[in-house]
Amino acid sequence: MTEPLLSIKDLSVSFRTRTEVVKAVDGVSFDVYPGETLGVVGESGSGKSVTMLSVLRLLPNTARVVTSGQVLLRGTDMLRASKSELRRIRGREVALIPQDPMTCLDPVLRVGGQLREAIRAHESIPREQRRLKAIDLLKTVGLPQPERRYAQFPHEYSGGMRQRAMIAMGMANAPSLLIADEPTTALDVTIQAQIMDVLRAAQHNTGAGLVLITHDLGLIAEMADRVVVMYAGHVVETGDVHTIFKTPRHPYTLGLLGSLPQVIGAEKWLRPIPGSPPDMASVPSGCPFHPRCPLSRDRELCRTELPALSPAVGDGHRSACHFSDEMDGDATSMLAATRPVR
Amino acid sequence: MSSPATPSLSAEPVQAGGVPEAGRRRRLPSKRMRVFAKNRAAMVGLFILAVFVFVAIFAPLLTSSDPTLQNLSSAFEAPSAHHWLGTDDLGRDILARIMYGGRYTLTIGVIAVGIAMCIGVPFGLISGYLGGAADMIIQRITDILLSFNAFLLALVLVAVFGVGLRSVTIAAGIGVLPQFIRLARGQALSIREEVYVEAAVAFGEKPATILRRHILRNALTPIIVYATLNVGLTILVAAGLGFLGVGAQPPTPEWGSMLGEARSYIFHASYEMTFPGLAIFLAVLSFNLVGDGLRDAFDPSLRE
Repeated sequence: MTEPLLSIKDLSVSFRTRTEVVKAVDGVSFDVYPGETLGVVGESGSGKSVTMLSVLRLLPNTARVVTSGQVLLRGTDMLRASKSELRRIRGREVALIPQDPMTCLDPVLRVGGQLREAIRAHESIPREQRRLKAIDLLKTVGLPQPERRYAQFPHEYSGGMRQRAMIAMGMANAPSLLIADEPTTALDVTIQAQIMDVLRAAQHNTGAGLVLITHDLGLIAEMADRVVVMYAGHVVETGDVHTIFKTPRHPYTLGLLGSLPQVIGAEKWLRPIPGSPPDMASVPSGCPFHPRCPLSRDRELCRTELPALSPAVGDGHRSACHFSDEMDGDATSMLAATRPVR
Repeated sequence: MSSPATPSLSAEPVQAGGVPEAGRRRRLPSKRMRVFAKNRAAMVGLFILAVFVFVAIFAPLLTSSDPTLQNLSSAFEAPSAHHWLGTDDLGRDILARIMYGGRYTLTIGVIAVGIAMCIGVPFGLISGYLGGAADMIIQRITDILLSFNAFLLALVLVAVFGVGLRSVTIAAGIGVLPQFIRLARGQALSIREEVYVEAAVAFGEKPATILRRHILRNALTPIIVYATLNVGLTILVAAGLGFLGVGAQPPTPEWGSMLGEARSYIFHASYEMTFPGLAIFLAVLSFNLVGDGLRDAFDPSLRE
């Protein structure tokens, strides 16, 4: 396979508060290759956003963050890069499209000005050319009447339009890696689909890698080539999207699939995963998922030992479960075998 | 009266008719101007202020008396048809002196606040945005400045700079400087956490660009509101210095100095002291009313 664009190796991120140390990300490793779409899935607090923020070194340093491991972006270790290196890389090599389109544009500046600014951060071309490029970018992301939109303020944009504008800003310098942090959470379903089309087109045009952080499995199924499932700061399962959806080998992934409405089978009831995600200040010993796991059944090993990511069904499919052998067959039959929770 | 609210009100329907969709959204800023226009106290303040400004500008057309012309034979004349507000100890027309004096007092107030803004805002923003050592140093200096009250600080500075209009202006400006540093820092601290600032960092923009484009622009509204409120204070400080005789020097008809000169005759000719005092009072009041109105309309969160 080709060289990975982004290679995260054994990344750990801890936040130190006055009384405790919260380990938000613990020993996470995965790669992103050029041109592919990687979906990072997990519940809120599973460490998916923190992982991607540390790629850009955007974690607030006021929070006293402790990081270890390596984040290699085309060979540059982002965790050890200097400030000027970081500034060169941010926006030029990697662009982050933030979570909330309603607040990510500056309310007092015209959208066009903000776009020009994003261009100017990495490219010194005359003002008029920047303007044309900015209008062109707005056209690329499918904003009608780009010339008029260019001169408008963010409050004159709808949520979907703002997200498009953000994607345009992200694409301004044709970065080789795009990170979209829940790009569609605040939008309704029709707009979501449009935004995903825009993202896909943007990625297609530049051949960039795309990391899609989301808790929406439907989005993953539609967009991603490969999936990383995170739970309590750990990667619990990774593999290509078909394998993950068809033959998951981690009970958490299976649980996520089961809790989806109408994707598999004709269940009348959703099947929530029992319990709730752990408090990150006191993650359960051993496998962090064991208190909620249907496979664990109070087995000693689950409580004492952290399972390593080990090869499962197909090529590149790996799961971190001591008893993944006990999961055989496809997702449908496995879900049918378990009793529905009412 | 020419209030800034009037044109925006009349422009409203035209705009809404022209581009319906955009017009509706554009209303936001002028909606605040309407809140301001509805504030009766603020309108009274604006009216008084407008009168003062008008009179100061057109003083030579409004009065034929020379504010510095002495005429000892007509000293201490009580208010009459000829001298509406009477004459002072040197026979100068008090009304004319007050009219001309407005030029000095209002200018000192505005320029002093301008100085405080131009120095305080950059330092405050840098302090709040960068944090760390820069913040530490700037804030400790601010602490020292804040430990004096504005007037005392200005008095000390006049002692250093020497007596005169210019040093009074600078001194009054520095007197209110620490408040501007604190305000700007607080604004920077909160705006720094906004998603659009984070996004700007993520797009690789330089800290200087972020400070100038995003932080300053968003901090501007409360700063302008606060500046208006502070003009009243700087006028008071400057007048106080004038009263003590370290401000504008005779024969300059600055209100504070007039007050100081009239002090000796308070029992003999009370009107000589009353009218400049009233002028100061009204000027400060008008700036405070306007400032309060702007604050309520644009940034209610500033209300203490």
